[in-house]
Amino acid sequence: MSELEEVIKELKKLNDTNKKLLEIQGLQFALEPFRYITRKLRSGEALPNTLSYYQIIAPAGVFTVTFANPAGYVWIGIFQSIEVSQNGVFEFTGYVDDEILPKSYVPRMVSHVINWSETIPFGHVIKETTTLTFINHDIANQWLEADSMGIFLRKDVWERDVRLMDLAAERYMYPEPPPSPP
Amino acid sequence: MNGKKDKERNGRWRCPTCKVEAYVKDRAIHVYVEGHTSAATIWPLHSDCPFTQDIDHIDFSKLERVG
Repeated sequence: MSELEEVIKELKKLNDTNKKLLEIQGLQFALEPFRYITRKLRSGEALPNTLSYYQIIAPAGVFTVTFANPAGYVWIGIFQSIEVSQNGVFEFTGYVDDEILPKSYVPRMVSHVINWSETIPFGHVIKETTTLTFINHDIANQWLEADSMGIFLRKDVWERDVRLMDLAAERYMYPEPPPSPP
Repeated sequence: MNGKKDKERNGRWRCPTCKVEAYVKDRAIHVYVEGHTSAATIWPLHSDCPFTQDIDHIDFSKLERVG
């Protein structure tokens, strides 16, 4: 192989690598959670949802609430905070969809904040229902206040996009081995 | 606690305003909120919903018994 042919071959390889890098960057731009959510809201495929509630629970009382998504939508959590009147008196159990085990169980709940988008991007997706149970183990009335931000996204859109995310991850998660030294 | 009063209120109830239903069993209440897409809030659907009270202060006379 002549020197010129070798240079052409190297340039082609470089060009291919650049194309791949551009593709990866494009995917990162498209699938970064906040950008993805913003785009879906703008396109009308998603609806914003902000929930905020205050609940008083009697001594030894049990308050359970089940939220069912609108038909054909999944709920993707972005942010959540819970404040309680007294730390350590509420027992909390949260079930998502038809899971046999609870998604979360806290024997003595304290006030807390969770940023779902930063801690576990797309980690809190409710396909149909979520059921939250609070038991007040105190001898007095206690209150809790909960806030959350999320989006309702069309189920067909989410199923398609999550498949694309998985395909992209499979394609790029194992980089090619570095070239062997000359 | 008034055990007899607790037993009388056991069962399924509905708020006549927002139609949200709840199942009451002794000192436990299970509220079921279905398919609301309001951007502002999905619970409670109105500020004076009787189900927002604690179990000892719910005014059952304002609710419809479903079963």
